[in-house]
Amino acid sequence: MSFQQCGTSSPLLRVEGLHVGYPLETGVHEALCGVDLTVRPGEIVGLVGESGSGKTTLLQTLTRLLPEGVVISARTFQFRNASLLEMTEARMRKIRGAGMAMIFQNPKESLNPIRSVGDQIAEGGRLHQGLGRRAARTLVLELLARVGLQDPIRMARAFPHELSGGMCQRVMIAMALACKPFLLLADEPTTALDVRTQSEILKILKTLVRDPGMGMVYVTHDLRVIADVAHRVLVLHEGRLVEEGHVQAVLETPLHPYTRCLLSAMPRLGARKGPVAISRRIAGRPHVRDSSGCGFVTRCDRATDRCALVKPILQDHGQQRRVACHRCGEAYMKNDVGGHPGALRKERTGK
Amino acid sequence: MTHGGPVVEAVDLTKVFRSGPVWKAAVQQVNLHIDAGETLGLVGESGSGKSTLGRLLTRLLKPEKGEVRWEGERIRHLRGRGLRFARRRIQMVFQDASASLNPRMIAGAAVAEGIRIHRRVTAGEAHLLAERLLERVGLDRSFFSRFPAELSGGQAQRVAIARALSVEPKFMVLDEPFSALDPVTSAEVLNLLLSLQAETGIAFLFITHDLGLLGHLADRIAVMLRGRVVETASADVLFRSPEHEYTRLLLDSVPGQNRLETGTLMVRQDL
Repeated sequence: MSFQQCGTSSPLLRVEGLHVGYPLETGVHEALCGVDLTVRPGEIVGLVGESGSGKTTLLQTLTRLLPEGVVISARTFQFRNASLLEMTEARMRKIRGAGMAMIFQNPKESLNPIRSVGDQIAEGGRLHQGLGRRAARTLVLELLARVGLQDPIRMARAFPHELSGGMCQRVMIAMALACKPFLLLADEPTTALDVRTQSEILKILKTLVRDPGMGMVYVTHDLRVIADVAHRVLVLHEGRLVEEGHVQAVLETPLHPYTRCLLSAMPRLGARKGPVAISRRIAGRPHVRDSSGCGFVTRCDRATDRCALVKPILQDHGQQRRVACHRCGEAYMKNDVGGHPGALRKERTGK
Repeated sequence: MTHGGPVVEAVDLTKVFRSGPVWKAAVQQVNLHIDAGETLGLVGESGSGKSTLGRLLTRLLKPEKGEVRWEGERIRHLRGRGLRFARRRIQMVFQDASASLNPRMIAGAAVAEGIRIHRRVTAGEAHLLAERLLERVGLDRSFFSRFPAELSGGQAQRVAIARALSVEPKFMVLDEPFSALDPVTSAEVLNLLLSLQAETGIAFLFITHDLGLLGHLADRIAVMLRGRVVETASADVLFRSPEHEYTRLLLDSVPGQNRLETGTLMVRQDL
C-alpha cells in the first residue's frame, strides 16, 4: 500500500456527479441526480433523507448491485483510485467483501438459516483472505468477541434462529469484518433494534472506524443516530443532494429548509405533551419531480418564483459545507437561525 | 352512561408462556390504569413483555392470574356476543400497518366493515361514515378505493387508525406504530393522534422502545423490565428525575443526545 492511501488526504471513495436512472415506459426515472460522495479512511459519512430519497439506491450503486438496464453515469466513480464503473464483474465480486462490505436492516433475513453462525463468518475470511480452516476458526472467535458477543465458542455453533435481532446484527457485522473491508456500507443497521441494543451496536461501529483505513457510509432516516455516529452528513431529497457538511454544523445551523424540516420533525427527548413542530406544507410527497425548478418547491414555505423555475445548484459555504438553495444565503436565514438559542437544551437535570 | 373510573385497569396481571421445558412469566403482577383522554406510554426493551401486556389489555390474550377491567367491568367471563359488544370499546393498531390490513379489501371497505358490524347503520351510511373517517385521518376521497398495496407505509397506518376509530372506541393500544415510518411521516401521524385524542377523549396505551418520542405523546410513562413494571411516573417527572436505574439506562441510550439536546441547536420550533 502506498503512503497516499494511509493518509487522510486520499479518499477511499470518490464519487462525483452520479446519475442513476431507471428506464420506465414513459421515460427515465432519475433516482439519483448529480450526487457527490467522498469517504476518507476513518470517517463515518451519514446519509439522511425520507424513504424514496435515493439513499438505498446510492448504496446499491456503490456495490453495483442494481438491476440490469439501470443507467449509471458519473464524472468520477473511484474506489481506492480504481474506477468502479469500468470494472469487470469478476473484479467487482472481489471488491464486494474484501473492498467494501455491507450490513443491512434485517439481519435475520440476511443470514443463512441452515448454516451455523461460525461457518457464515468464516466464509468471508476463507474466500477473500484465503485463510485455512484453522486460521478461519481463530478469526471467527476473535471477531465474535470483538462485536461484543459473549461465549464465542458456543456462539459460533449457534444458528440464526437461536439468536435475538441484536445478536444477529452483531453476527452480520462480524461477517462484514471477516473480509477486512476498507469501506463499510451500513443500511439502517439499527432500525429494527431496540434503543439499548442500538446504542451498543453504534458504539461498536464507532470503534471499528478507528481501525486505520476503514471508512463507513451510514444510511438512516434517524437524525438522532446521525448525530451520534457521523462525522459528516449528506442530506438527500428526491435523489438530489440538498445539503452537506460537518455533522455538528449541519445539525446546529441547518441551512436548507428541508434539513430544517427533518430536524423539526424529530421528537424531542423529554418534550411536554403536544404536537411536533412540523410545517403543514411538508405533508405528503412532493408532486413534481422532474420539473425544471427546485425539487423541494412544493413543500417549502419560503419558495419564490425563482425556486419554481431555476434548479438551485450546490453552493460552497466554506468548511466543506455545501447547500443547494436559492434562498439560503439571504438575510432571513441569518435572522432565523438565531431564533431561539437553546430551545432544545436538555431538559433532564436529575441524574 | 359515562363511567367515572379509569377506562382500563389491570390488577395483579400475570401471563406465563412456555419456552422449551421451562415456563416463563412474560408479564408479572402488573397493576396499571388509564383514564379517559389520557396516554400512558409503555417502554422497555424487546422481550420485556410490553406487547404481551398490550394484548392482555385488549383481551387478545387471557391472563393466568389477575384481571383486566374495561370501564370497571370484569372481562374474564365474557364470551361470544357479550365479548364482541364489549370489544367495541377497545381497539388496537399494530406496528406493520400494511400487514394488518386485508390485502384484498379496499381501504374504504376495511373502515366500513367495523362500522357495519358494530353500529346499526345501512351500507350507504357506513360508506359515508368511512369516507368521513378517512378524511379525518388525512386521506382524501381518492384513497377510499385503494388496496393496501397501493398505499405507502404512512397511508396504511392512517387507514389502520381510521379503521380502529370506526367503532368509536374508548381505548386504543398502539404497538410501535411509528417504527416503520420515516421521520416526517411519523411526526404527522403523531400530531394526528394528539388531535384525535383532544377531539374524542380517547385513551391511548402507546407501546414503544423509544423514549425519545414519548414526551410529545404521553401523560404518564410506565417502564417495563423482564415482565414487571418497575417505574410509573408522569412523563415530566420521569424525564427530569428518573428513579429506577433501568429508566436512566433507557434514557441514556437515546442516541445523539450530546449533540442534539445539550448543544445549542437552533432550529425554530415554529418552522
